Amino acid sequence: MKFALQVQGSPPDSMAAQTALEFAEAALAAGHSIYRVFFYLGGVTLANELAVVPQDETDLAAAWLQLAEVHGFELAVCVAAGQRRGLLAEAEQARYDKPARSARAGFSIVGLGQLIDAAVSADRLVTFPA
Amino acid sequence: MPALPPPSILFLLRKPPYAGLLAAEQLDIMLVAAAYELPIALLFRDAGIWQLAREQQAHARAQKSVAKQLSALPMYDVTALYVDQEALSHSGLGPDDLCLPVKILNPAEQRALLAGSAVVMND
Repeated sequence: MKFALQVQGSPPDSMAAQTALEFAEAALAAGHSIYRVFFYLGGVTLANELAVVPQDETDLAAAWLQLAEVHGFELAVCVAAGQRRGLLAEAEQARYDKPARSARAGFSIVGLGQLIDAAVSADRLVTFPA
Repeated sequence: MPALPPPSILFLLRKPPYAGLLAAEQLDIMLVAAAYELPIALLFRDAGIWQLAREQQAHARAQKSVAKQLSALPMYDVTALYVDQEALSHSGLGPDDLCLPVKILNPAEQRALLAGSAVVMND
């Protein structure tokens, strides 16, 4: 089965990104595939490169990036939700004249159309709320 | 061979209207889906019922009224609006207190709606 995942919870304040990662790993191990993972609402902050992960904690974003690379699926971040939360790629940094870029390489900054595409293209959409 | 009908998306709305911008950002998803001309339906349950309450003093929260934003949905041909019978009854709201005409569904009807939707998007 082809899964699309939507992650809505912010990593330090919610288990959403962690639970979704475990779901994705289990689904892939069982022979399913991941079409796309879409980060929305507070979930976009997973892609914030300016966040500092303490040494004795897991870098959840790195774990996602590794899984996505190995299995060839996209980590998509909503551009509008990201802007509200200070998650900017170079294009948005320049457009809004902000002092820093914060989006981590490997995450695609996209529009909500990519969530709708994922929802209708995958066999199942699974949402991990905040 | 006739083209397959576009897949329908059911939005399951269970959160209150002013839990941060959650309701407003969920509405953004609905508007994009409607712009793609996908058939969408909304089912309000639990505290999600309060998103439909007509009288919302959103200015007190320095936000746009969720009810006002939801009221725009019929302009996008979104008219499949459903509420959970039990949640409506617990809220004390009557149909006249809501910002949109809705159909009240019992649990069996909600099961059928969920089963008949290609995609369920919950909050």
